[in-house]
Amino acid sequence: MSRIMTSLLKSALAAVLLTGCSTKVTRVTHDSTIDLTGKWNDTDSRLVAEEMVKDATNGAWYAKYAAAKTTPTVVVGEIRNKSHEHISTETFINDIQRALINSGKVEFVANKAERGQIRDEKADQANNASVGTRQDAGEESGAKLMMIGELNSIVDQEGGKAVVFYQVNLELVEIESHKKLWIGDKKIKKFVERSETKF
Amino acid sequence: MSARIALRKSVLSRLGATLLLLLVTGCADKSLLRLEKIANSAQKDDYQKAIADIRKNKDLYGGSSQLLYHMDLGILFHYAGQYDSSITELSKATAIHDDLFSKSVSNEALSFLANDNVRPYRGKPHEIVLLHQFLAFDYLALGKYDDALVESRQTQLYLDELKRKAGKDLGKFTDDGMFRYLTGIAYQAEGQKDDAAISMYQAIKAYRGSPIALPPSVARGALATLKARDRENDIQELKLTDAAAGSNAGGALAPSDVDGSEIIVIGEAGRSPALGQNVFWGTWERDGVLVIHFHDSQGKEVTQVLPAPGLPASEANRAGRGGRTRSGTTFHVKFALPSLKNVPSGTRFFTVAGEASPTPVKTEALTDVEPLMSRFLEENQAAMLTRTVIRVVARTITAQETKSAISGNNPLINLLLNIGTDVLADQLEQADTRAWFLLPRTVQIARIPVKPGVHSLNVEAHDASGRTIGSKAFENIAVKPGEKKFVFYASLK
Repeated sequence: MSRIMTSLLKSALAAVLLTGCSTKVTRVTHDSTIDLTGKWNDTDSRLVAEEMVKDATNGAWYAKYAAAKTTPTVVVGEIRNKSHEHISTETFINDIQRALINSGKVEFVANKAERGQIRDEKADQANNASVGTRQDAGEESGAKLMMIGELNSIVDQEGGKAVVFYQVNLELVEIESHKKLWIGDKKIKKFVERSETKF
Repeated sequence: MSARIALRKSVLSRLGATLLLLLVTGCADKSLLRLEKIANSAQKDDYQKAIADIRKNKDLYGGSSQLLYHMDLGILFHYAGQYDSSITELSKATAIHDDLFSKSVSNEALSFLANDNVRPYRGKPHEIVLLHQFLAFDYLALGKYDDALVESRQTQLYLDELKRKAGKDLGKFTDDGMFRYLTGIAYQAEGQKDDAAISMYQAIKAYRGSPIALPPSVARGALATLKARDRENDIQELKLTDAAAGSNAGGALAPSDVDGSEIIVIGEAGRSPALGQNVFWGTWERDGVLVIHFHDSQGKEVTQVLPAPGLPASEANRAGRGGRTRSGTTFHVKFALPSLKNVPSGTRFFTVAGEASPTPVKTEALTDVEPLMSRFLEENQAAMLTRTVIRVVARTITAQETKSAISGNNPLINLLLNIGTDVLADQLEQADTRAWFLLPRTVQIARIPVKPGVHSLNVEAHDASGRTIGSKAFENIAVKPGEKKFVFYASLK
C-alpha cells in the first residue's frame, strides 16, 4: 500500500510542480502541410483553390467567350457554409479570383458588399472631390456571370476517431439566362484520431 | 533494512506534508466567491459591471476553470447585446472544451488525493449544449443563419457522442428539445424545409424523453411545420393534435405562417441554480464504528453511527493467531458531495406587445435549467460517490502515514501535529461545485408572424404575480419576406 501511495504522491507532486513550457516558433513555407486538429485549414483551402482554377480555366464554357474575343465579367455571389465548422470561404474564393484574373481569361467585379462601400465613396466624392478627380456613378461594369456555391461536410465519429468528408461545389451561372455554364467540385476526406488520455 | 524503511517513511511523510500544503493552497473551490462577486451584478441586470468584475477577478477561475471563465464572459456579453464579443468568448470556450477531450492522467491522479476541483472543468452535458445554443443565438441576432446552423451541427455531433456513450441507458441526457426546436426554426429561416421538419420531429421526441414537459407552443409549431410539409405519418406517430390551438402563449402559428416572416422573441428569465456542497464528517474506528455528522435540509446537525467495515482477511488471520492488528485505530474522515442550490427568480415570463403584436403574446419556457441540473446530479451520483470514497480513503491513509512518520517522543507536539494534519486534510475535501450559474433559469419564446417590413415591439418582464419588473423596446426591426428575425431580452432578476 505504501509503495502505491509513494508512487501516487510522486506523480501527483510532479503534476503540481510541472508548469507550462515556453513558446517555440518555427517559420515554415506557406505551402507546407501542417495538420494540428484535423479541422479545415489553409492546406484544404489551397487544395480547393488549385483544383477549382484548373477545372474552371479548362472548362468548355470558356470557348464561347474566347471565340467572341470577349473577356467575361464575373461577380462572386453567396458561397454558403453548410459544414459543421466555421469556415471562411473567402480564403479560397480570393485564391480562385486571383488565379483567374492573372490568367487573363476572366475579369471580376466587386461583390455586393464591396459595391456598397464603393458607392458610398462615390457619393462622398460627388460632394467633396474636385471635378477632375471625381469618379462618376452609373459607370459600373455589369457582371455576365455569377459564381455561387456551397461547402458541405459529413462527419462519422466514434470516441476519439472521426472520418470527416468535405465537399466544395462551385458554379458559374449566366446572369441573363440563369444557365449553369460550369460546375466544379473538390472533395477532401480526413481520418482524425485523438487520444483519450494524456500525461 | 530498518534504515531503508525509516528513509522511505521520512520521504513519504515529507512528500505527504508538502503535497497536503500545496493542495490546500492550490485546489480551493472558488465557486462561492465567484457567486458572491459576479452573480449579484448579473442578477441586477448590470451585465457590464459583472463583465468588469470577472475580468478584475480572473484568479477566481484559475487554470482549471478556463472553460467557465469564457462561458461566463460570453453569456454576459450576450445579455448585454454585444453579440460579436459574446461570439469571441463563447468560441474560446468551445475550443477549450474541444481541447479537453483528452483526459490528463496526472490531473486525474491528483484529484484522488486533493479534490475534483484540480480537474479541468469540462462542463455538464446540458451546459455544453447551451454553450452552442447561445453561440447560435448570437449568430441569429446578427442575422448569420449559416453560422447558427454550424453550431447546430456541432451540437448534433456532441449529442451523437453522448448517445453512443449512454448506450442503452435511456435515462441519460442525450438530446435537448429546445435545441431541436430552435434548429428547426433556423432551418426554416434558411429555406431548408425538409431539415426544418426533421428538426421539429426530433424536438417532440427529445421533449418527451426529458424532464421538461413539451411546451404547447412547440407542439403547435411542430404540427404547423409537419402539416406544411405533408408529413402526415410523422404527425400520427407523434400523436400531435390541434388541442392546444386555442392558446397563444409562445405565439400562435398556422401552417401558412411556417414559411412566412416572423419576429421571434427569446426571453432569458431568472438565474440558473448553483451548486453547494453537503459535508459529512466524523470518525472511523477500524473494526468498530463509523460516526458521521452532517447538516440536514434545515441546517440542523445530525449524527449517525454505523458499523465500520471489518478488518481485511490478512489482519483477521493475524488476529486469529494472536498477533497485533490495526483494530481500534481511529481516523478522522470528511467528505463533501455537490448539492443543488436554487436561486429564487423574480422573472417568470415575458409579454410581447406593440405594433408588431397588437394582441399581447405571453412567452412560453422552452427549457428550464433546474430539472436539467437535478438530472445531472442524479445521473452522476454513483460516479461522484465512488470517486469521493476512493479519494477520502486515499487521503485518510496518507494523513495517517504522515502522522505516524512524523510522530516523536513529545506527546504535546504529537497531538498538535496530528490535529494539524487532520485540519490540512479537511481543508482539501471540497465538492466540485463548479457550474455555469450565469445561465438563465428558463429560456422562453414568443413567435410573432408579421408582414415583411419594418416593425417595432415592446417586451416586458413579469414576476409571478404578473407585475412588470422590466421592459425593453425594439424599434426598426426590418424583416424581409420569409425572414425569421430573432430579438433577445434578458431579465435575470
